[in-house]
Amino acid sequence: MKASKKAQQLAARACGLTAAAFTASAAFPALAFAAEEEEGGGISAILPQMDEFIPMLVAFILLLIILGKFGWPMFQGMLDRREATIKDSLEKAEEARVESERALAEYKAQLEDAKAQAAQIVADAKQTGEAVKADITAKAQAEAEQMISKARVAIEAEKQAAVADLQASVADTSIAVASRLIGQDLSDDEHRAIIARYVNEAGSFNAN
Amino acid sequence: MTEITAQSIDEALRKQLDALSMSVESREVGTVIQVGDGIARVDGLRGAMAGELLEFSGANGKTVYGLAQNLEEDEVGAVLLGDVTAIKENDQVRTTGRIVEVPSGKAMLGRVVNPLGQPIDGKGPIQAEGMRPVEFKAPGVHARKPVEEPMQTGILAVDSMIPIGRGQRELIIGDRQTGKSAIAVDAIINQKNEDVICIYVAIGQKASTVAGIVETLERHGAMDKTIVVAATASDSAPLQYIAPMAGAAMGEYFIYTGEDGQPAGPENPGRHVLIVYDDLSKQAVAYRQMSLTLRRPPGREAYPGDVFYLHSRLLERAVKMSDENGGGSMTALPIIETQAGDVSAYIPTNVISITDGQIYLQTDLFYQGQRPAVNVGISVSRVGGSAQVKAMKQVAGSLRLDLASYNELQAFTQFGSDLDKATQDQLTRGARMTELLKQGRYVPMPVWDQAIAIYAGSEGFLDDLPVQDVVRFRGELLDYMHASKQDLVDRLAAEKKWTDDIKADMSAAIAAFKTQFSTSATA
Amino acid sequence: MPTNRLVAKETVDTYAQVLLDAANAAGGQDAVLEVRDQLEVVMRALRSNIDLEVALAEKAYAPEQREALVRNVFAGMNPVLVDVLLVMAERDDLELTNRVYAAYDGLIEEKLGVVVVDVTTAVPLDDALRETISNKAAQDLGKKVVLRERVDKSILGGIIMSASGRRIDASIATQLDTARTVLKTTTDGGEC
Repeated sequence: MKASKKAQQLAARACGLTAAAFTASAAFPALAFAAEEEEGGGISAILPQMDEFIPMLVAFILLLIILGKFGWPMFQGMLDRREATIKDSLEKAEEARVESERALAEYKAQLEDAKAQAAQIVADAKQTGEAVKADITAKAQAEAEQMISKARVAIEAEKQAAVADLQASVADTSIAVASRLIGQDLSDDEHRAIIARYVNEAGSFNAN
Repeated sequence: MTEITAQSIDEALRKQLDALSMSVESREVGTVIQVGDGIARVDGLRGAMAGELLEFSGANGKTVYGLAQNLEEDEVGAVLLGDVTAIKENDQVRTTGRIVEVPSGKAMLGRVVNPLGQPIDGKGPIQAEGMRPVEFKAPGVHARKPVEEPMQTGILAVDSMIPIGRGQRELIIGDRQTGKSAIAVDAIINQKNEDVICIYVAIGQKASTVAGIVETLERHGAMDKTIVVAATASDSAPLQYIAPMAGAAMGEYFIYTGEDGQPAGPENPGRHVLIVYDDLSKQAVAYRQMSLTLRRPPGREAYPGDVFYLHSRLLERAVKMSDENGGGSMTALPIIETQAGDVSAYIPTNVISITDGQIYLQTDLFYQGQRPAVNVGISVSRVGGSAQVKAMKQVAGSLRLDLASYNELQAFTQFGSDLDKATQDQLTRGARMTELLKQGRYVPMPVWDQAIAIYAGSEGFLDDLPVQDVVRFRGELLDYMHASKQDLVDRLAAEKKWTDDIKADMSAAIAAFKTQFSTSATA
Repeated sequence: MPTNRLVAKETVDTYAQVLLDAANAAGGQDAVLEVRDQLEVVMRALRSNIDLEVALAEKAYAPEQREALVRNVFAGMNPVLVDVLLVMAERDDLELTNRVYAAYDGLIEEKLGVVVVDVTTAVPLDDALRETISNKAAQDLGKKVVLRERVDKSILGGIIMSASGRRIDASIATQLDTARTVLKTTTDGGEC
């Protein structure tokens, strides 16, 4: 924008220059008339003296032609070059802006990605942690239960062993008492009665 | 919990006294001629059957059971199962008409028992649902069907390259200290959330080792579905001999009966059992001792002639039942210990020829840090391929190829230095794949995790990682998958195979994970 | 000792035959049964006395020395039995005693037509009981029966009968033992 304004100002200055040239040439005839008046006076004072005016006009027209022929295109070329440079730099600036915007978007996307990944990792870790925690808890519980049941089994076994021990000693004692009673208390006749009964009850020699 | 009072005990005793029957049937009796080395020679007993259970009445009313083994013209050679010192010459021996039986049932689960089924874990008596004979004839041809379901061990190297199917017999063989038991124990731990019942038979091991294994199984929550049958090194040879068969008998209960305790059938499916015999070479040694003391003629390596039959009839009891018979299965993982890698010894060759493949463990791999020390080149599974999950089969093919060419090249390139790009790539891939197969103990991987890990390797995601980061990458990748991409894992599990969609999504997910994976600083 | 089992069987049969014939000739059925009892004692002694077993198996002893040993150990026995044992000792056949006893038992049944039933009781039998037992055994076995009675307080009461390798144990001691085992091992399956 600034560049274009500069260009307009430059153009305006160029116009001013041309106008100044005209003013200068207009002032010369006035001087010429003033000199004539001193000689002739009256109106002739303001009229150009032809012998001065013609060369001046010719010089002016020559100058105009030379300037128009050589000066103006040079000037115009300079302006054009300047304009192109300005346009070019403007374009470059625009490109840089777009590029920077794209990069910014890219960085933003990457940042988002990274954030998501971090969240995922955290979530994964959390999940793993939960699973491990549940696992450990379950294991500990199972172990505790196992220990309890083992203790119960052990108690039961001990109880059974005690019962078996007691039973054995009771059996031993009662059998011992019975043996002694039978050995001492039975008379021969009673013995013989038992024998007779057993012989009758006994199985055959040829059995099995 | 009820109170223990004298009255309650009295009542219990009375109840049992009623049940007591005073039968006085005639029984066949013999007398002990000679006893020693865990065997007894018995006079009489002309009616004894081979393998029959004999009842020895020892000093102060103690009853010891024995197993009739040698039936001769006028005497019977028997092995004693139990307190040998309670028996002396001239003691009475009776036949029982039964063969050796062990208690079986759900109550056995979670227990540690001896080969006669008696608890040795101090947890009280076992209320067994029934008894099963220790020697039981394996089901015939038409009661079976081919192996078709996978038995996941949770071990990457095994499940991908040497897949095991339910009903298969897969030998685990290797020198001492190569991690044979570790594979078996890991396989048991992996059944924690499966519908598989496990039986671990420890033969001739240190009692402390067995206690350690029980503790491990308990710690990883796998003991509830496991029976441990322990015949430790201090048990007599006959007990060690009978232990695998006792374990098999306990397992057979679950195959032949359904959840409701009724016999298995088309409507009442039988259960799946995984049984580990750790190890059969010790059983063979115990059997050799028994046979030699019974004066049976020794054969190769002094083993008796029927040691092959001993193992073949035991392993034949591993079975996949047909649908009419309930479709239950028993998968056997026998373990054999070799001496200095010698697989051509008598017992290893026998068992290799009986089983459906072997997992071969090597000492040098073990010390190179390749654990589990499975030599995938010479380990095979003859029937498991048909049972392998499709998704695994798809990725395992390229894995096998990668490893094979790697092993070939590795030996080859030890001499040369200038390698072309293709060779270098193969070496890189192979090294990463080998690294990928490393796995710690007691960390079984679900099959889908395994498939994803191998997929990541075969798609080249590991190629630019430092080798020492591969295992960490695998672990973190799977954690990530389960935490963030569970739906993708679920999709793979639902489809059971790699479709193009899943492949694309998986590649994307792995790539995403890889960006946040930090490799360790390379020095 | 011959390793061929047929030869060994023949040897055993010869010993048993000689023993039976000699005993029968010397004192009839009573002597035969006495020899049977004594042979059982010898058999048990040979099994359970490790010193005797070792001494008899010692190769350094000459046959005569072995003979002397046997003669001293079994001096109180029936002369017929001692003679046979001496021959066995001389030929190093004492390991066959078990089988000779079994063969002898079979021969009694075969030659004399009777079955020997060993009866152990806590008190001596009376005639009525003998009758009952003999009748039962004869009915079961289908042969004439001879009872060999033995009194043993340690069985507490009842009776143990055994014949030709089979045994009926109806002694109080055994029954109490069974009761004890049942009481100890079985539980009623629930809370007590």
